[in-house]
Amino acid sequence: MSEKLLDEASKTKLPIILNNELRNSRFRNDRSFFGNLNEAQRSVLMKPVKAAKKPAMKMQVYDMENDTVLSNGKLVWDNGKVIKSMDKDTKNVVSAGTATWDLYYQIFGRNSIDNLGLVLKHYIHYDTKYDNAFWDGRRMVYGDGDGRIFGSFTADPDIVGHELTHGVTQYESNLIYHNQSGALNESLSDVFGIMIKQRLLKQDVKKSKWLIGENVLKGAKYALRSMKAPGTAYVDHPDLGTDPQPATFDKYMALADTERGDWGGVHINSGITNFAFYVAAFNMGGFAWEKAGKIWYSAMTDKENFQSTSNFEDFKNLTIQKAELLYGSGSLEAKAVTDGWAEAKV
Amino acid sequence: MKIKLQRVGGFVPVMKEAETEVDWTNDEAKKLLDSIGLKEKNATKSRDATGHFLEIRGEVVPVDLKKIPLKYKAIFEGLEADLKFVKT
Repeated sequence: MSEKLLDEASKTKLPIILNNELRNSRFRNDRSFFGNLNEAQRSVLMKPVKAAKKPAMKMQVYDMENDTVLSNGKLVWDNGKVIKSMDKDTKNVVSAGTATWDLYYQIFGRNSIDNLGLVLKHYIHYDTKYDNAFWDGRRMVYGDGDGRIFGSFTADPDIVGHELTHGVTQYESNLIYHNQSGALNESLSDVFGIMIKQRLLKQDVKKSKWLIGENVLKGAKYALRSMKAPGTAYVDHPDLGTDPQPATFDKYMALADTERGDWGGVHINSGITNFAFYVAAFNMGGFAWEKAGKIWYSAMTDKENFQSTSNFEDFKNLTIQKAELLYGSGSLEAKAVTDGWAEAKV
Repeated sequence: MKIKLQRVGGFVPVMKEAETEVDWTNDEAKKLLDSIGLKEKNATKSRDATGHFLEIRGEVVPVDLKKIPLKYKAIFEGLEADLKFVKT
């Protein structure tokens, strides 16, 4: 480059700050050329390093119009561009999807589900009166609910955050969806889902009710899951009965590892690890995402130590280790995590 | 014969069921199951998804409702509309 620069100098294109001595000198290589420059000369020639561009959220909303073939979904919202006037469900998923992306980026430095800027795709109005929401491996799908027992599954930001976090888990540990690893998979989705709601509503650990799906399941005294008191989200519900989640490991339900057995109770036994997180976060105080969330995120993204077959004990040990690394051995935070797992009897 | 449709899985894994009486022959029932029955599901990336099972002659088989032949559509649409939660 120095030869090139000096050639340019002969054409008087080099800045005047390069004095004649430099202009007339010959250098063996670029390093020796630049080594002879003072700060002012160097700053003229070397452009400042540009700050890395901040990643931007990419998100789309598709309206299924009660169809069940996802490829038939019609794009109604595309990165802020309103293609069809926004109904309540579109507004819900845009708000909660944005809150999810923000939590992952602003708190944990993660760029979307895959940490590479994957487009968040929401499919609303799936099927007729479909009372469920799911992650299909690439996108989130929401039903409108039957209108009697369930409202729309977009009504709670923790559910939107829950489904998106299944994507994060898929790209990180890819926890196998059976038995304890499957229950951990479910629990991580609840943990990040509740933090997304708490941050959106500016709720600290005391103000939060720690309920998942409190708007989706109709009736003021019902929710789909309680992280604070697993097994109490709905009690004697006229249609559903009573929430079967255990809060402690001694009540772990050994269900069949089949689709009919909820793959070994992945949505049931997640109550145990949900409760451990609740106790840990509550004992730390403040906003859950500030400390407890960072510990859980650090553990869930530790690809070396957190693997697809990890169980409750593995995750317990890893979160305690992460708390000690982040906040110090014997710290209040490490004690809170240890106590959380002890309360959940893991 | 009596047939029972079950929906399992989901965000809240509470089973839903509906049953009805049909006048199918054994051969007809077998043919239907051959066309809509699913083999053991392999690991998928779907999470919180729902699935359907058909209980027929004491056998419970996972089924794909999108494959229901036209002739049986009305029966299965009726069963789907009648699905009720089985309390836990």
